[in-house]
Amino acid sequence: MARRIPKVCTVLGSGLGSTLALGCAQDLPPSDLIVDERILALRVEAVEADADPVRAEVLPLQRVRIVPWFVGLDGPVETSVVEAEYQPLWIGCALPPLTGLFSCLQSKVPLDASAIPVCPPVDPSALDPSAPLQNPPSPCRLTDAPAAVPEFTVPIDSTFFFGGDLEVTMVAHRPGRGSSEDCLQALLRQEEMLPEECLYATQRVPIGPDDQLFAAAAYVGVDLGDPPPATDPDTHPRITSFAVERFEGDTRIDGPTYLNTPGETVELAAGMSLNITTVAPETDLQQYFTPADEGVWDPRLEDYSGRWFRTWGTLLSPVSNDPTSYNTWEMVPNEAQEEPERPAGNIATMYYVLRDGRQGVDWFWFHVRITE
Amino acid sequence: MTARRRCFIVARLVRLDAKARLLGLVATFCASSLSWEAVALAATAAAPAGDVLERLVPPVLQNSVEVAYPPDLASSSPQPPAGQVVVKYTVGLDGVPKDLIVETSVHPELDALALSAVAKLRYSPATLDGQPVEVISRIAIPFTAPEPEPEPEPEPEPEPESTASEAPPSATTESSLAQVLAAGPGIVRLEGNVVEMGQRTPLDRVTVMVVPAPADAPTGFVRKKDYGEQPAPAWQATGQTDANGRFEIRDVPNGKVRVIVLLPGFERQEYIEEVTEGEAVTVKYYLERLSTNPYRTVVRVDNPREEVARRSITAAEINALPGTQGDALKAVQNFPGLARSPFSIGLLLVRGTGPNDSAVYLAHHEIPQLFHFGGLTSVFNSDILERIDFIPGNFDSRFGDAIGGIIDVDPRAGRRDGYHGYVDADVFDAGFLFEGKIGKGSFALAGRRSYIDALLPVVIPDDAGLDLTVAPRYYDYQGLFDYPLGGGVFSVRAFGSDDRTELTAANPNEIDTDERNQFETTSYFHRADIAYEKRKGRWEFLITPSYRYEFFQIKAVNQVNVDVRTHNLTARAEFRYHLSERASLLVGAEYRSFWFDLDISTPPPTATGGSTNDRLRTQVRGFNASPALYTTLAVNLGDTFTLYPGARITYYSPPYNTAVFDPRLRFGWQVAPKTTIKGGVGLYSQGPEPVESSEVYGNPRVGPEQGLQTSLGVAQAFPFGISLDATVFFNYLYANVAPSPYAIYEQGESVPEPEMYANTQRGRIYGAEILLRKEFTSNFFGWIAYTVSRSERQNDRGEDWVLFDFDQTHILTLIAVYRLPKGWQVGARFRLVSGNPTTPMLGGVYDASSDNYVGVYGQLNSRRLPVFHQLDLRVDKKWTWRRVGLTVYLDVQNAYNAQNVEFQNPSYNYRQQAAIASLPIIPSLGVKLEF
Repeated sequence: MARRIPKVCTVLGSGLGSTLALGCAQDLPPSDLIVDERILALRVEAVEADADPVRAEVLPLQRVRIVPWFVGLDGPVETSVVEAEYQPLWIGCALPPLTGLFSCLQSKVPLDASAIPVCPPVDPSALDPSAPLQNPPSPCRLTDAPAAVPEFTVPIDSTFFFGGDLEVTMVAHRPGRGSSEDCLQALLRQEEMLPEECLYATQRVPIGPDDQLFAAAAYVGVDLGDPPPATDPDTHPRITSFAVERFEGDTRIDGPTYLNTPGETVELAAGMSLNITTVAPETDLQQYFTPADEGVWDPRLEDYSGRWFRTWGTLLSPVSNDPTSYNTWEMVPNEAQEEPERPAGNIATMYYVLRDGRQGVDWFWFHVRITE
Repeated sequence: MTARRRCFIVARLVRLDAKARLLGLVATFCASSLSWEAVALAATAAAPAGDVLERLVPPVLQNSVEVAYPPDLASSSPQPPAGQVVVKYTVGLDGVPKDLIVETSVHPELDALALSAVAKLRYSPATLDGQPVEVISRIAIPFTAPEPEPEPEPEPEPEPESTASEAPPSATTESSLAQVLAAGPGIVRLEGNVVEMGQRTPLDRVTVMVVPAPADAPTGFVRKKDYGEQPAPAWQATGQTDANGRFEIRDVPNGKVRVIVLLPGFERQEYIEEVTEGEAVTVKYYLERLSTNPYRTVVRVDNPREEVARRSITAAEINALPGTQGDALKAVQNFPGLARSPFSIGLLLVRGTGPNDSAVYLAHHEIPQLFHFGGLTSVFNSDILERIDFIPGNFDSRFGDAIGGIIDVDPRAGRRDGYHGYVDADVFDAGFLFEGKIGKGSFALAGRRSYIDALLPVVIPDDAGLDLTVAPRYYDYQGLFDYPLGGGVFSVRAFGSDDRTELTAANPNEIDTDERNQFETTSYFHRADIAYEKRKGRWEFLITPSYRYEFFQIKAVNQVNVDVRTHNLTARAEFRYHLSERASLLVGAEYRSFWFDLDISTPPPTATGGSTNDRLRTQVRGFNASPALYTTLAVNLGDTFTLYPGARITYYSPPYNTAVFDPRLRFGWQVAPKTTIKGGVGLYSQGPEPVESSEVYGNPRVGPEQGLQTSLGVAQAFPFGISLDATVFFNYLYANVAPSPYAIYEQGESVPEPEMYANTQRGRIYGAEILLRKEFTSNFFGWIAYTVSRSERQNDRGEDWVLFDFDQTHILTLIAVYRLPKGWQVGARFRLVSGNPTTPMLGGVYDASSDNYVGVYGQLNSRRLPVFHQLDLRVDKKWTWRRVGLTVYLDVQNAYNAQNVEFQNPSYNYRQQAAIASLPIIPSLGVKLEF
């Protein structure tokens, strides 16, 4: 007989005592400062014409694309540049339920990269509901060549019917340094530090919605019991508004100025600040269900989670979590990070990524030209 | 408790014929120290600890010895030496006195005579529960110089008619004390009480000696004592206090007298009193104890529960140890066999096992929570603990559900010698203790509350974005009641603990905060026990039920919601029967059960740490029980070898629905009077954790964990309270529960489910422990504890063996405490410990689903953190007045501010890491007022 739920107590209790210690790790780089090429998001999109909103959840046999968002000091990296210079590889793995992302590929380590086959094409006409379900190899390469925005058909895998998802791992290299195959090999061996020139990212391709999945399972002869309540598929949120106001001290100079397209440039004198307001509709937050005990389904509501990144300057906060979120960006070097007096070319860039608590994601960015 | 008084008169008081030159003297062997101190007997001078002495049958003198005053010495000077020679000796198991020491010397020649006489005494040995034991005793042998041959008497002159009433003769006359004694029945001239300074406790067996003093000596306390050679006094009268601290001295002549008050362990005091005609002088003396703590518990008991390595710590040692703030459970962590706990948070890491693999028993029942907030201070007041035993392995069958070690804590009864207590305060909290007698019984009340909640809001900056809705605060309370009943002792105990905190961490750009910004935790328990213990003839029994209510709740940023309530009912019944002088049998039953009400909603635990959108939710009520039967036989095979075969059977109710049988065997072999070899082998089992066997979070098919423990040790006692204890051990764990990566098919199901956990892990642990210890006698105590060990785990067959998370190859602890004059005491503790294993970080993979990174690591626990080293210092100053005592202490942890690495904190992308250091230098000032 166990004594209590002690591990949580112990960890949290000790965490109370060591919280201050954790907060004192000042020598580590902040996550909101962009100093090099980075991936800030991978967006899963169901391939559908004129979809609005765009689905972030797919069923087996449906087409899906993965859109990566590479950013750098000068702004997002063009898709053509990603494909030509970053050469990302895409590995798919059937992720069991109740396991963390990346655990599918991690569980195969050590593995030789050459042993990972290309995923076989999915032929729906070959499916025979009376025959045992044949799962595709896991892991496998979703594309037979590097691709900036891979597009593929979601296979049928029994793992999906039991609550699992498709784990997609992207492996790329920085321009002019190394190769994506070498980076993949290093990741699959895990014998040494992962090379600096390698970029790795993983994303969950959710299979659902569950009620439709249950029907798909029945089609192929798998009985999952009573389906959950019907819900709409998970869709991506939409940043509907991005506005800036110029401030000098506590005095508003002008604004709000609405930035209608990503990538616009705002001019601002050094020392001044921008108050930023962004809006995502509360109606884009969807209700969904998670399984509880004994076939009971627990309703939950999505939640916004905003992340703010910059290449230079001082942010009030790197996070926000409301449909209408605010931030302040001061055009002064961040002393904690020992930033230079001015950004390169006097251009600073801000990136904003909005997530909805599931797989929905949207992003925005703009530049600031520092004037005297 | 009253001391027994027996006086064995083995010779006659002989009065010399005045014409005889030779004299026979009297050896009146009066066993003046009549509360026998048994070696290894738990007794307290001021705090009677149960009825141990009631079970003790003192030794019985079998012969007599006469001692003659040496003629040469008698004629060596006009005033030959005289007085009482006090000899301290041990009555051995064979009834022969040994370890003779002269405690009060009169003259070397007389001392030698006394020693020779005592050495010739023969006893039947003392017994405790029918077993022969050694006892320490003292004996005062008075030596009176013979009277010189009187000169021929002149013709007597007619005496004037006396009109005055017959006055007591004065010592200024030439008459001897013997003539004074012959004048008639003794008249009380000096009477009074002797109590302990600061405690007001009556002291018994205090020797009060009265000798003449110069007529011009000022009355009162003698401050300047002349310890040089003094001429023998013309006369001497001696008395002794009784159990109430009261004494009477008779037949003291009028005039100034010097009163010498003596008791071992207390400061000698002298007073000048004036005895006047027709009056008895009434006095009250306050003796100051030489040790700093009124509670004395003494070492181990050689009883049928003797484990291979049972290490005890006394209350005095607990309060003196640097770096532990007088906390008993933290003090135990200085013993070998316990790994160092990160950030000193109080994890019990016994012989390479995890923090949940060991158990702490308080008054025969397990307690759920040892420390407030994971390690600040223990939940039970250390000053009302009689004994704390740490058993790192091969523990007796009465303990179960643990594959590591045991800490067995016994609360003591409240003091019956008046009303006492204290209030104390330090940097973190304040507490009190109040105890005293109720009729024939006693009570003790204690409590403690933190004031961190008052300090933190002042310290935390306003712009930190941290709103402490309920600042961290804790309190605990204890209430004990003991009463003799029907020949046994009836006890009632109630205690509890409460920890809470609630904070809101808002981002600077948030307009409103909600539950996504909140963190809240509440943890409390309340427990009530009753117990009845009785010894009658060959039987002893114990029965004790206990009820405990526990509540634990945590809400963290709308992700984790845990609400757990349990009602725990446990009971223990034990019977011990002394089959003969050489054997005793213990049979017992322990029943443990709890009703639980869980409401938990959390993301599932993930091995890699990557994100998941899954959530697990369970709301369940249920019941669990694990009754157990146990037995241990203690049998002496010969005079020096004792075997302890035992067994424990435990049944685990559904979902486990399984029983485990744990046979155990220990032995003790006294190969020499002060050398004992001990060993043990046995099976030990423990139920899985609730999360591991949960229908939702775990695997209800997992079963109890089991382990084999073996150990072999030697204990050697040296003079001056020094002992050496060395033990080697090997433990093998099998059927441990570990996370499982597999999916399994339930019977009748076509859909596989994640197994979550399985009993596939094995562990192997081996090493050696050495403890060189000096008991707290005279002015110094300390110890050197060293452990060398290795602890490994294998999650499943075919996998590699890896170091256990808390494996620490070398653990060295040096402790020294020295008592200085005038109430000062200084202490130091130095620790040198191998760094904990760590897993090298190779980099990170960006988890785009949650905007975090998943760490990629090398081989598990393949490296070590740097060596840990730390010095803790402590200084105490105690003032003792007549009715109260005040102690002020300064405890400095990490005196030279060593920057020991506790773990490596990775950067957001796992490309860099920064060392997180252990606690910095922390001075702690405390004050304690006792009465």
